[in-house]
Amino acid sequence: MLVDKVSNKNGYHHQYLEVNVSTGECIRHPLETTTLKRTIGGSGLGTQLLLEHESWKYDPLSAESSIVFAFSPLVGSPLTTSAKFAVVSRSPLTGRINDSLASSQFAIAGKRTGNDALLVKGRADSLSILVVDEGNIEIQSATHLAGLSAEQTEAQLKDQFPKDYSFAVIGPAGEKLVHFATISHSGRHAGRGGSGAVLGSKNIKAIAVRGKQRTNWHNTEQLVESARDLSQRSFGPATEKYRELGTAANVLVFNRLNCLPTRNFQKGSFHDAIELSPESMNLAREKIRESCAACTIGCTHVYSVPVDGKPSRARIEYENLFALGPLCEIGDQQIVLEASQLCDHYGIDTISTGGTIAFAMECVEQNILNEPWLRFGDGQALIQAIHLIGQYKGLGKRLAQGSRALAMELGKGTLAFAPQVKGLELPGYEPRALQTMALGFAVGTRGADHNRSGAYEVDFSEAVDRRNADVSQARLAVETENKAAIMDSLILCKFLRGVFDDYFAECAVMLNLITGWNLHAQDLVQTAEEIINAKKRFNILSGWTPEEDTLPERMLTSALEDDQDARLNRQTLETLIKAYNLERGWDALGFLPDSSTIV
Amino acid sequence: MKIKIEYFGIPRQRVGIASEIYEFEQEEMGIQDVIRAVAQKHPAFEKHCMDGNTINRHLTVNLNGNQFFQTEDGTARDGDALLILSMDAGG
Repeated sequence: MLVDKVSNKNGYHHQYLEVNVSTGECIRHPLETTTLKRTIGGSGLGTQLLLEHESWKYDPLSAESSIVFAFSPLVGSPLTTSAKFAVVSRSPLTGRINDSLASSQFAIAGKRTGNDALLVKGRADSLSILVVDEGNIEIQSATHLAGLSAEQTEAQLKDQFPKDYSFAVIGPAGEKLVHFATISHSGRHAGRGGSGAVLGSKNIKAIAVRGKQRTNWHNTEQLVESARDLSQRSFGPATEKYRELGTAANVLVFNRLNCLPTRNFQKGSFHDAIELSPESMNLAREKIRESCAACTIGCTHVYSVPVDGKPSRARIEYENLFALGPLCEIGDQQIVLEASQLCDHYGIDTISTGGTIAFAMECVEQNILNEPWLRFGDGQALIQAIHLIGQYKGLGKRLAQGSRALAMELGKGTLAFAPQVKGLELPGYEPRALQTMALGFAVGTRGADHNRSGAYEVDFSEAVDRRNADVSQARLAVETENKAAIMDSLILCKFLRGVFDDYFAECAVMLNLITGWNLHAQDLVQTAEEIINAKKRFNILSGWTPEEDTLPERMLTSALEDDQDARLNRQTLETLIKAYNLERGWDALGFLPDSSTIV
Repeated sequence: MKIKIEYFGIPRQRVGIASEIYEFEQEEMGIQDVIRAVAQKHPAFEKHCMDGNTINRHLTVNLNGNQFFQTEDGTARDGDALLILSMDAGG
């Protein structure tokens, strides 16, 4: 189907493309400036489009549901870390809003198709590739790619398509609808919440994009100057931890502060933490450092991992290490790296994978789950469990639904220690030892999440007592969420956040230089609030109840085994949540003032 | 008094050790004075981790695994452990 060329505008194409892969029908929808000012792009725009398409009504894995690939006004600009996009859909894991972000050339090529977002709905008859070549949109067969890993798929597509295409693909787990399957591109993943399963449910193995449509910049000279300054700052001390050690630098710090989740969140420190630290791995293994597209930070640390005598590599982040290491009580460096690599191979989220397996290990230990081979500390059992999930076989079929679904199936009080909020497994921040983060987890619209709420920053500051929360922390949690909402919509990498002296004001300047708008810091704060309100609105429409805003029961009734000062009770958490809701301008239970839910 | 200094992240990279014991004549000291003593001993730390007389804003200090100190000062006493670490924790 041929779609007319559109004229370029400042930062935006002012349109998005809807493709129904059941019928091949394509619709180009206009995007008004008022909508773009209210949502910016990325996560904010994606949420708005899902609301407009009433995606809350539908099973996330049904043909009727929508999945949005939302770009942003900064994509294609010289601003460092701006080659990002958001994948937004209803999550099969939580049933609520999900937005996963990633960086790659896919963002740049996708925007050059002449669209600010791609919205996909329907279900192709057989495994397919959605090809968006500016105005030419085709659905091609992908049956030759069935069962291939994300890396293999992308390699084949690069052979099959001209060089200027970029791809977003799913691995075998996405095809099998594993509820925490990822969408991959150039070795990066839109990882959390199961967007890979949503794409798999549409029988779309890959999306191929290319184009030559560019947007304009309002003030090119000043933008280039601003970009040069931002790049310069990105080489400074605010990001050196990421450059030199990577996010894995957290392992030893968190271990020392008893907030490294261990043994399915029973403990906050791990006896083999040093073995999994980048300080140890740097001595033991070859390592290379990589950057995302258009990034000057270079936080990606890729380690050699010989498997069966063959050389291979694994990209390591703190979350991989925590979830596949301490959480499953595994300290063998080689096993954890192999496990991480396997998650990439199958295309599954490492946090949900580790969280669900650690939970199953505890169920086995308590004789609730009859899989005696699956034990804490058994590295081969971890590897086997990942294979079963990725291949959707045996126990893997049950694990593939996530820890909440497994707990509900098993019963016997297991939900109390399933490490999830709203169905999304907790990342590597022990809530009892980091209680502002505990609040962030409980109220998070996509579930337990450290990317949409950076409340841990508050806990690691002199502003609070991290193990004795009080209501003043609610305001601080709101502020970190607001910052994240803007970063995820502009979109810029969160690792840049330390370089800004006046965050909202500087973000407003960047946006103004591109769009020609005249926004101020306070305007962006208001936009952040509206984006978070929109996500909440989606959740309310999809059936959210206040009871979902909580933590696993065990975290509210027991102290950490190895830190008796790290305890949090239900009353304290509920007080924090109420304060948070009121700070947001919602009612005490968390409903919007306009819960008639205007879209 | 004796104070244990523990280095994490970038400070550990700069100093090249995980921890060390400092001995001071005083019975208690301001935390920022302790940090200045560390900087004096380790030029590589001073160069990369200090802004003049105060700790770089991208680093933070924790006393005994409990309270953090960044702009405010606290008191270190005999037997205390001071953790010096990078500010951001995202991952």
